[in-house]
Amino acid sequence: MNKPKTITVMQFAMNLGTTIIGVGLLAFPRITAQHAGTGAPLATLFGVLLMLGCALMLSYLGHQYPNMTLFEYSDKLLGRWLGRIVTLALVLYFLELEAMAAREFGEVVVTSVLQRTPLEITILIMLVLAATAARNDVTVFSRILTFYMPFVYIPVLVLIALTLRSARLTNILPIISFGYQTNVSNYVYAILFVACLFQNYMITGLLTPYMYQTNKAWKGALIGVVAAGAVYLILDVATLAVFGTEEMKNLIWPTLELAKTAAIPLFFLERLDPVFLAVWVTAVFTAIFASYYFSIQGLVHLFNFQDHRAFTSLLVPVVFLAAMQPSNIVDVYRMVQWVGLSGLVLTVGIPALLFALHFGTGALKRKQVKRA
Amino acid sequence: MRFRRAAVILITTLVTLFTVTGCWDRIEIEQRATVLGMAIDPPDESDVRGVTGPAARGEGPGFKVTAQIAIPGRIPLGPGGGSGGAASDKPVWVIQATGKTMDDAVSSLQQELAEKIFLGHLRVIIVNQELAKSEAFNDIQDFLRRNAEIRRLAWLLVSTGNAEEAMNSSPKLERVPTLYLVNMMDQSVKLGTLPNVYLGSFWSVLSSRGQTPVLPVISVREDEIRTQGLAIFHHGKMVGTLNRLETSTYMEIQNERRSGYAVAVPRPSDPSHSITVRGTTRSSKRAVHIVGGRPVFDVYSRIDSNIEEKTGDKPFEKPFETGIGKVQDELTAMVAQRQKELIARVQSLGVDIFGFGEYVRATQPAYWARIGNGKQWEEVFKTLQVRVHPRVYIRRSGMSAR
Repeated sequence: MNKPKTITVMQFAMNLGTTIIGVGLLAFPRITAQHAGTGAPLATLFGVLLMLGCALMLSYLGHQYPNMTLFEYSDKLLGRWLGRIVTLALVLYFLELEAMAAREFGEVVVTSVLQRTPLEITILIMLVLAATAARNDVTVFSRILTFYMPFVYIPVLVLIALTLRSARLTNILPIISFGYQTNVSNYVYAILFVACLFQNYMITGLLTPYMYQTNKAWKGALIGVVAAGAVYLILDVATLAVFGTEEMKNLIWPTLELAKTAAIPLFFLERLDPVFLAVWVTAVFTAIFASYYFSIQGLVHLFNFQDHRAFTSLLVPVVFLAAMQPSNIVDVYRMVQWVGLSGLVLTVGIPALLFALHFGTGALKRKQVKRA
Repeated sequence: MRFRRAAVILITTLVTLFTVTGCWDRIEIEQRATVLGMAIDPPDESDVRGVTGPAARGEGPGFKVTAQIAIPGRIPLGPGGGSGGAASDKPVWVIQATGKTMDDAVSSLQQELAEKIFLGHLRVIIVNQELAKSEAFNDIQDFLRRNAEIRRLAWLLVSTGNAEEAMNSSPKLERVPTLYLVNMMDQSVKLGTLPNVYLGSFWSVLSSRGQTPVLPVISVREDEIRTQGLAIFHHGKMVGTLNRLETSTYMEIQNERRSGYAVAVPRPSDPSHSITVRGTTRSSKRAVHIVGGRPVFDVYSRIDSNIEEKTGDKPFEKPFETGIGKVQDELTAMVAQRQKELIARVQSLGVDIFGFGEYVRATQPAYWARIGNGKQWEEVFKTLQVRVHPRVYIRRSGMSAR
């Protein structure tokens, strides 16, 4: 199937940067602080670097197979059956990831703003919205993500600038907590948890065949992941500087609490948290939308469909039921962490596997050529 | 084709009809009781009526919550506005309820109201010092932390005397008593007489292991509300207060830039009279060394000040140039003495209000790990060696040249 080449490098970078920032923004400072103490920002940095490596691998593969999506070249590299299993695993995983994101979103909204709105409604509306948007083709998918980029980035940066007044330097020291406040396994846990937040980078595999210049895809991946990584890193430093590790462990959503500490010296905007939440919904939407779209494209490939629209509304109930599985807030975060961490096997493992296979088969072919 | 189109229109209409009927959480402003200020006292009698059931219990006899609720339409918008309103139109309504726990009391408060209590605009929470000194203070914190509406920028104050009186007071300069109180606290921070310790910062410090929090203290007597200084806490319970001069010393060590305290020293040439100077800015640095396996602190503070007053008929210490130096030395010695005394006093209580522990945690992580990640810090702090090196500078002498 011929794919229209419509995505520029900058657009690709913006897509990655938008989709990576999602629902995890609110809780991750707490989880990293619990496991890495004041070393959390450094752990965040390592997590970003890990996922940057994966994104670069995928964009390299995208250039090697410039007309194929991730699903297509994994078929080619792994063989038809193994390729199908991998695709199916990715599809199911991203559906579950979407369900968890929607649930976490619902929990935040019900706890902090719309206290009387049923959880089901908030989740369902988000899912229907994502499903509706997912009816578009890849070109439009990319444009939607591009369009929302400023709405995701600017408010976060403004929020941080407004709260720096109550930041304290001693709260973020020592930068290396390793060996003092935490042990190896906890530190690695923090790194991997940050990596979980970046799993949406997998849309790289979906977007590269639609790019004008696949040879520059690595540049887009670099800019996109680094930009999103910078937001996470700055946010982690800001929450840590304002609250300190011990207080952070008491706050279920430190970022939201940070928004409550922010104040503009204008009387009518004194409360900033609803404004922040309203914008944060955009970030959640782009992330949920991207993972949903990714699964749907995987399914289309799996069943050799011509059109992906049939799946969009079909999967909403499935995701909704998955989202309603955890029974309470503690359960939600246990599942979010469990699902995220086990998913790294797929989202880090598959690119690495394909990358290795690509070189392996290439070397094999060269050998055969030499022998002949 | 035609049918399909009609069907699409019908479905769209129906879906919109059912979903756009309104927001689940829509509350008109008249339907919500906006609490501006809250005062928490111990109940008067032991018989406390609650509404959350007989199992409601906590530390102490319970709480008496007094809330100041804004009456919509009567809050004057902007300065000078609403001068036409009659004096009897009080813009706030004060109600009171008791309960065994905080939620018990607030639920009971809700029963006195038709509108839903809304705490999103809560600006001041005043806690009677009797409660602040008891275990019940923890229970108050938990209620406030859990509520998603409460802002971290609200003021948490400790009152000597009944906190409820602050809700009933009627200041002359502002129609809403709570807003007057907020203004008073904000101004104190600007004038440099109180550190900016709001609810959120109190919580952050409370949970840290290397620092204990402070809170502003106010005294309420009938219509008179005064800022008094700071309350100091040990394991989340108030254990004492810093008076105004101690507060000033505390702020010197804490590197609070704005300085607003005036202090009098005896005149070097004539001890029966004094010279009063007022601080303008301060700055302070601290350094820690590990000497013999124990931390030793050096605190360098600098205060810039202006001469505000001298008593006695004689002109300023002659010659003017070296006279200023003499007064500076006198002031420096006095400030050093005060800093030493305050540090010794809080050391005897075992409360590290200065956050020396946090500084050790940040800069000497190996040592911090050795004392159980701060678990033994209190013991270390009690015998901590702190060397103070203050410097007071007189920069200006006002409009007078002598």
